[in-house]
Amino acid sequence: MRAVAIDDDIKMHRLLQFMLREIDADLDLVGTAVSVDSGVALIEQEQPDLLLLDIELENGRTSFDILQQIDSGKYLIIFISGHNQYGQLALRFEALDYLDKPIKSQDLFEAIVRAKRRFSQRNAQERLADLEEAMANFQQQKLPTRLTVSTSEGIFFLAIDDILRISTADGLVTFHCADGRKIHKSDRLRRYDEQFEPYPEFMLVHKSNLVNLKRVRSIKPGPVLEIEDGTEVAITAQSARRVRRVMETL
Amino acid sequence: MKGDVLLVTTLKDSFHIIRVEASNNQLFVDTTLLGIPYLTGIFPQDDSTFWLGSHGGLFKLDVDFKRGHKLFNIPLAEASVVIHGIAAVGEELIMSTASGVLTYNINNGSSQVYSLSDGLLGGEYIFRSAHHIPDRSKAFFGGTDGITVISPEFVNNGIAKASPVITGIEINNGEFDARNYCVDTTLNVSFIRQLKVPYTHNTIEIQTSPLEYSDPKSCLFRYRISGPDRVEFLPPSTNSTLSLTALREGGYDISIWATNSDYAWAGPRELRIEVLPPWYRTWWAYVLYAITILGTIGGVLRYRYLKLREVELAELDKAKAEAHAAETETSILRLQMNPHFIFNSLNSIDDYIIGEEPLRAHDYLVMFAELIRDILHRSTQPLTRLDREVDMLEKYIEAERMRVGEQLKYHIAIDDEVDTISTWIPTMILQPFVENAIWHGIGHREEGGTIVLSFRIDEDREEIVATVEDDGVGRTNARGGDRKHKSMAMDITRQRLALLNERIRALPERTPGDARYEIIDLKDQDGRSSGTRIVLYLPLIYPEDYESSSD
Repeated sequence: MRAVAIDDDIKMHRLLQFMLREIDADLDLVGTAVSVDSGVALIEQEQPDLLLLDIELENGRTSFDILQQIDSGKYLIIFISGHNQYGQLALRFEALDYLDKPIKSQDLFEAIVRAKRRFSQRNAQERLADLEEAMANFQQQKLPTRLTVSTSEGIFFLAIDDILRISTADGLVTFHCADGRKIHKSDRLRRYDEQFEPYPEFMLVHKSNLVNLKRVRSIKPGPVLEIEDGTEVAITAQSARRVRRVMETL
Repeated sequence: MKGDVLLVTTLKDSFHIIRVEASNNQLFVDTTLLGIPYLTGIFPQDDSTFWLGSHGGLFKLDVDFKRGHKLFNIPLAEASVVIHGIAAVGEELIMSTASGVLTYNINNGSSQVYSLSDGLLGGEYIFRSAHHIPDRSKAFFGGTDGITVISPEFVNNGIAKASPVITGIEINNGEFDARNYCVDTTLNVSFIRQLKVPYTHNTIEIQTSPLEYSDPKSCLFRYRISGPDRVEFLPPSTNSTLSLTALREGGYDISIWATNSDYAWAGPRELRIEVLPPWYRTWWAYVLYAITILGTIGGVLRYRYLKLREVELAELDKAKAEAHAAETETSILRLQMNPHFIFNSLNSIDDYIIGEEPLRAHDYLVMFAELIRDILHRSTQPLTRLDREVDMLEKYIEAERMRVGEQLKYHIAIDDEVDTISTWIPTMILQPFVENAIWHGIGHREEGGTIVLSFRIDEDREEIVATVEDDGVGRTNARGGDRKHKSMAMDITRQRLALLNERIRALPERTPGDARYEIIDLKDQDGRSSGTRIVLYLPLIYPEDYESSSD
């Protein structure tokens, strides 16, 4: 496979080239660019399979400016972002692959594997729609209203408000939805705890439960949280105090 | 009709006494012309005694058909009076006249005159308009001015003579308008009982008049003035005007007496004058003064208090600054990671570069950067959530593992009872123990070893029990490393635990146990050293406790 990297930091070009060679991912970096215009030209000229895109480019422009000028649905895309930037939230919630800087070789390898799998699961039109949604959220700097969960069984779109809770057991994360659906994914709950940090209603009430407090029916003695679907989550007294405090502000 | 005797009279002066024989219903008319002029009323006392009122006065008639009737002319307090009507109240005969009422006691013969000055109506009483209730508790007389009701109290006590009346009031020598001064709704000065005047309107003239008089010039007046500044009796004089000057604020009770035409004192007519204080002497003004004075005193006290408090606060700030310094010190303490770790890491990276393993160098650097960032960030917080602390320890062990090699194994076991997200432990408190286990326990063995980190909760003692166990060479056999650093790291840990205990003791609801640790040397079956176990007991404490106790 052939890849291009677009990043305004030339050092990243070299690092990516080096890492791609070392991790043996069957991927050749055939070109690099530093700006929107040169990036568009490069992609049209090389017609690569995969794009490695730094989100923020020079002069306040972004990789989305590139994606708008090309036939974006055709490509596998991996976004690369600086650390902990609010706008990048959009990416995490969508069916997109992203990497935080600095990049570990193992993470890069895994991202490529994921991108390949996702590319095969979605058709070009769907891929385009995913990108447009992410771009809209990114540009408006608003909190995404849905979460895309990609599992071996397919890609699921969950409205954030309809997620009652996310639980974990035995290396599996389970999304409990308002319509009764349960979606299982091999992942760590910790990842979602961080991802949902900007949402005040989502709280890790117990090490194995991230709960949407808007969907809590009651706090019963125990203490136990009763969720709208009737399930109960045992919590500690200290956690119950925290829950009560947050619920008052919702 | 009374019993079987009937008295019949004609308008002029004929008078008949008729006896009725009940047995055969026969009437015996005993006509006697008694010579009573113009009979106006009869009061039958019993079967044989009758009281007769007439234009010629009061007569008593004893009826006796056998021995002959007897008629007596009764002398009254007023001579040759014309009786208009007669009735009885108790033992008293009440007779109305042209100008008043006469009484006559049928037991003792005493007689009294009552007139307008006694409170009776002024007009003439109507002829024969006199009645009493059969039990003689009240008598009624019709007059041209109304009906007079006479009760026993009237007769027994007599009544006060009619009080003089107030005919005019002048305030500050000006027109008096009752609307400005009266509480009552009346505008007629003769009915005013109470005046309210402002303190500037304190010259008051009261004109009075006796109620009944024939010669006003000969009437006498006397006054009593009782007020906040004076209690005065003005002797009787013909002065019908009372002048009050320079009244002070407060209440004045004025009593006025006057003689009537019979020269009897009548009264008192009472009038209360309230001189209202100026606004600055009203009760609410005084309340205002009190508030102002108290406020000022309070303000001064508060100012002094705040001054003192400022001094105190300055001292407190100093104490806080000291506490802060201590805190800073401990946050530096938290950073007391073995400098050898840092230098060894840098050496490893260098080694990868020299050995042309750039990818390993890169990955090690990324991991090392993350770990350092994490540690720097964490070390500003006195407490860390257990899950994050475990993450950090894992990263640290991973970093050591990259350096030492895969033979360093580790296992982290957290009891199900422990809710890692609502359990807090002092930041980086376990790191020195883990570091010791790696550097002194396992690090120097070719075959490596395993570190087991475990966490459980002791509900009764309200503490989290953390165990760091290695299967290394044991303390006694430990060699190499930096003994000086090792003992320093343990000193720091002891200091931090002592500080933590101080805080816990200051908490209102302190946990029963103290933060402490035990070092257990493990032996195998043959009694040989087979590792070290550190057990750390940490009372459950939360960030909010930490904040409250540090203020």
